[in-house]
Amino acid sequence: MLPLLAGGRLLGVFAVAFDRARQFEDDERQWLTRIAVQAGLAANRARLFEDLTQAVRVNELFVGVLAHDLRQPLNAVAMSAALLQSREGKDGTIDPRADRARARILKSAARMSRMIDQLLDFTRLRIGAGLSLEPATSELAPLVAQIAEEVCDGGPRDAVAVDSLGDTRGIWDADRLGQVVSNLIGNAVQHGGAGPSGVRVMVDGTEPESVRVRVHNVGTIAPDLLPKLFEPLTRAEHRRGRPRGLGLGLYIAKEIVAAHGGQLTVMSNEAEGTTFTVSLPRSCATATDRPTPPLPPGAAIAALHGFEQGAGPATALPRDARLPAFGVPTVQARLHAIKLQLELRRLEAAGLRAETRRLRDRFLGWPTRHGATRSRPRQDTASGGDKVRRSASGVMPH
Amino acid sequence: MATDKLKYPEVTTKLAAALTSHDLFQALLSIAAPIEGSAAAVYLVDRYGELRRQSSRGAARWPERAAVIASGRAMFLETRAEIEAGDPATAHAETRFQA
Repeated sequence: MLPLLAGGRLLGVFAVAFDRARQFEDDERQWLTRIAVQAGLAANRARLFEDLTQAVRVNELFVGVLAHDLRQPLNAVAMSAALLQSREGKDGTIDPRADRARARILKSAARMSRMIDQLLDFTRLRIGAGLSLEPATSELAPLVAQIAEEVCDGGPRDAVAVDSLGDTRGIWDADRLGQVVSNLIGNAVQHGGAGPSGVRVMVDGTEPESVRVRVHNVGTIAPDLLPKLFEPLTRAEHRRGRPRGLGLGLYIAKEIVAAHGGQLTVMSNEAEGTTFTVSLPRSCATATDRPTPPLPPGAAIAALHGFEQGAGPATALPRDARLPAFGVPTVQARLHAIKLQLELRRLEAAGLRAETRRLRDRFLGWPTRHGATRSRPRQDTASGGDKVRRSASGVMPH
Repeated sequence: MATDKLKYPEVTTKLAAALTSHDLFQALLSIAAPIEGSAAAVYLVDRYGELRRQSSRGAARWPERAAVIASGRAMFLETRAEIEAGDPATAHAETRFQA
């Protein structure tokens, strides 16, 4: 029987039994004792590794749960501000100061919402659940132009110049690619040079098999930062200027592009400025058809998933699964329902009956005047892009 | 001697490569057969300070471990009498040591 020791502390015992009584020679005893010393060190290392792994996993889950829980009050703030903004004063006028304050609330809420979405994506990636994609035929050029306009909203309209070449159509998840492009253009505007068209975006669809999006600005990235630019949570210490996000945007963008089977690269130097290039195959089917790798054994998410579903631990989550461990489907459904009720109440109060009826038909799937129901519900962008589908009980997330 | 069948560097390489408890168990249990052991077991102290059997190979009636725990030294029990001499009362030494 050999004690497994590390730093004078007993971590375990290794025992070997023999069929018959036997004498141990001195060199055998020494050999086994030396092995026990090595095994003690290995046991200590294994214990530390497992403790660390567990701590990291708990932290990641905590981030995910926190992000999800932050979403609810934030949605309430955003919805209330939106409701207030749409209402006029008693005399038919809107107080400009109050209106500015409401606009600030909405803008801050939108920024917080993006950060929360990033935290949830980050958690999904870190626990191995992967990002969900919903590929459909999309055209990249108008999408990029629309996002550039959104990014420039409130600033000079010519801050971003968008050009396109060739056929920019493909089968992708447009929402997810929008997230990528928004991040790249937003960064370029923030770090790019001053003046009109300090940021140039080119959507290049001239290749038959792929489409490229190049986002260029005249600013440069420090050479020591380049190798770790796509690593999570590295922004605050390294990037210049006041931090505006969590430092997760590029990490998530790269993961989204990778999930499409593409690549996100960067080139930066004093002479040419900075260019991010997104290269996408025309169809992400190959990438999305790949089976989801199984979750690590004993992963907390699997256990929670199993707990939530009332079944044993899951070995893998479906690609389009949201985080059931965080109760997202249920809570999202409730949020959609609350938002819909608020909107319906507002429209009814305003006497817009036709609009009210149209919304009811659209979201709740009640028969229209022609006896048909919508088979494809619209995307709800106000709550992080979750899609809703009709169900017997009302609306629920897809 | 039986340990001639196992090269020390091979064993230490396995142990050095062990990152998880499972790796450690595999590395240790693989030693038993070459040294003609009929069974082997690995016990680890759990988070509550209790020594628990985590992995084993073969069947054996394992002698009292309290003496090993109390002394922190290897024990080579060479006769049936030595094995049977383990005093169950010393089992309490486990708790005292770990506390």
